[in-house]
Amino acid sequence: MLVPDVKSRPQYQQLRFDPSGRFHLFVGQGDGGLALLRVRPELPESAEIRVIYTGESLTGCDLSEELAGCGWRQLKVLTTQVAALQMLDEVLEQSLMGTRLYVAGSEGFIGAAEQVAARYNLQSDELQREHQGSSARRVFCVHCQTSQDDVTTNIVLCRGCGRHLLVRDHYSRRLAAFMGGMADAEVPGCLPELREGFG
Amino acid sequence: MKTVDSIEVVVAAIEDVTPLIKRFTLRKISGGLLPPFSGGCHVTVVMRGGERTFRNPYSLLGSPRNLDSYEIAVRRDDQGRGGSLFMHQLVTVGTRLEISHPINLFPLSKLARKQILIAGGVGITPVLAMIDDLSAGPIDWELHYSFRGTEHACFGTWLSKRHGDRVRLYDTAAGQRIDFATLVGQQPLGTHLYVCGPSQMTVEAFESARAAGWPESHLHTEQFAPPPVGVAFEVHLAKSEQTVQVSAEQSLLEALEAAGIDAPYLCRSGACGRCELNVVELDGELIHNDHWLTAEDRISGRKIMPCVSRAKCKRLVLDW
Repeated sequence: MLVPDVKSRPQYQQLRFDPSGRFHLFVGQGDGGLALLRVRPELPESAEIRVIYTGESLTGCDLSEELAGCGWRQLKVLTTQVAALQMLDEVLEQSLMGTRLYVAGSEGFIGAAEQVAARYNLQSDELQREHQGSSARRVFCVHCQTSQDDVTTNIVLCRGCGRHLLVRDHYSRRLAAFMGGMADAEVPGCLPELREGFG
Repeated sequence: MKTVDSIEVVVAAIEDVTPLIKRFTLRKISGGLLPPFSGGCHVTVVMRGGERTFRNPYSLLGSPRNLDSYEIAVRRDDQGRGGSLFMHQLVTVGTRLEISHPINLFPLSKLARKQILIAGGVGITPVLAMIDDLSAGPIDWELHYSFRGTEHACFGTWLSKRHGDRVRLYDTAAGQRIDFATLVGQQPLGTHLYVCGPSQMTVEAFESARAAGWPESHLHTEQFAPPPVGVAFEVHLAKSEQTVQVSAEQSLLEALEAAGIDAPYLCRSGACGRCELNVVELDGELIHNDHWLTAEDRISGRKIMPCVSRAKCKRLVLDW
């Protein structure tokens, strides 16, 4: 069942420059570029800022050119999300205490970036997340432990084990995915109506 | 219902660590193993003096892997309320004491990438057990230990021998000081800072860290300060319909305990929140000395932490 107000459901806010930090790392994906363009005028010229961006997204929103045109001192544009996350990992490895991370993009991208950040023990007061673009979910099959990206419907066929999964609102930050459980376990073949839930 | 279970122990050994610090080894009277604990834990020792009962928290400094005995260190404070003098003058090998179960309000972060421990004087005690935990694990760590005079270097010298370069000693009597700004300026992401020492040391360390952009979630401290003294007042317990007098040198919690009231507590230093009580009525003002209540709580005037806070009033009515 889809239950509103599930505690694990991620809460997102609008990115805001945090002056208590010493170094600032912005990571954007697809529509998340809108958040970066919005905060750009608020950023103090003296602040130490790096930006990583990828235009790869489900919605096709690529703001690479717009971002390149607004005078970041250190902007890296990458063609894929995987490459952007890899770069995030490399930058965090070299980063010092006092760094603030700002992530904007789809829910799946934010979750994946948080997984990288967790390896460096970044906590909620060092990390801001803004959701932009697709609400498609990454779904983890609780039966065969396969994850699949870009799920937009309440029921999805698991590509690992072929079960019909009901996509729950229960989110795992460790796995950066929503839990999917067999939808017709009690009465085989009896499935809830298929709906577009998180397009 | 008793809110805090106690353990009956006997003092098995007493050792002078420095001219002011004694180390006490405690064993269970009934024999056998004591409850497990982790680095950063403390126990509250109940000291039944003539007129007053003291309950002072002391960090466990022995190895968490040795549960045959607990070790605590007590610094003699001649100007203190009397708990440390009780331990130094009245407790001998064979004395029976009552202690609480270990509680950890100063735990190490398990997910840290690096741990920086900072200790001043007798503040080294929780850090000793923390180091014992850390030396058995994979996380990088270092200790910066500041003390006054070579006769107080005892714990430091011992740690240096065991852990080499991870341990840096600073003798303030020789003018050596921890350079906090440099220390916190170049640490990798995921570093945590733990400070146990005089309050000025914590303030200085945390201010340097904040100035270098460290967030609060990476800053940890513990300090067992005695409850501040004040003016005597009367407290009335609305539910149990009792009236208790709180003297100037007594904490509100101690006054309740002296009247036989089994009020809840854990840390007795205003940090843990366990003893929070609701205020029903007050004809003066609350003096908050805790680190627990939020700014809104304080403004509301509806809550008090009786372990360290008191009231400047004639009569305080509590919901108990």
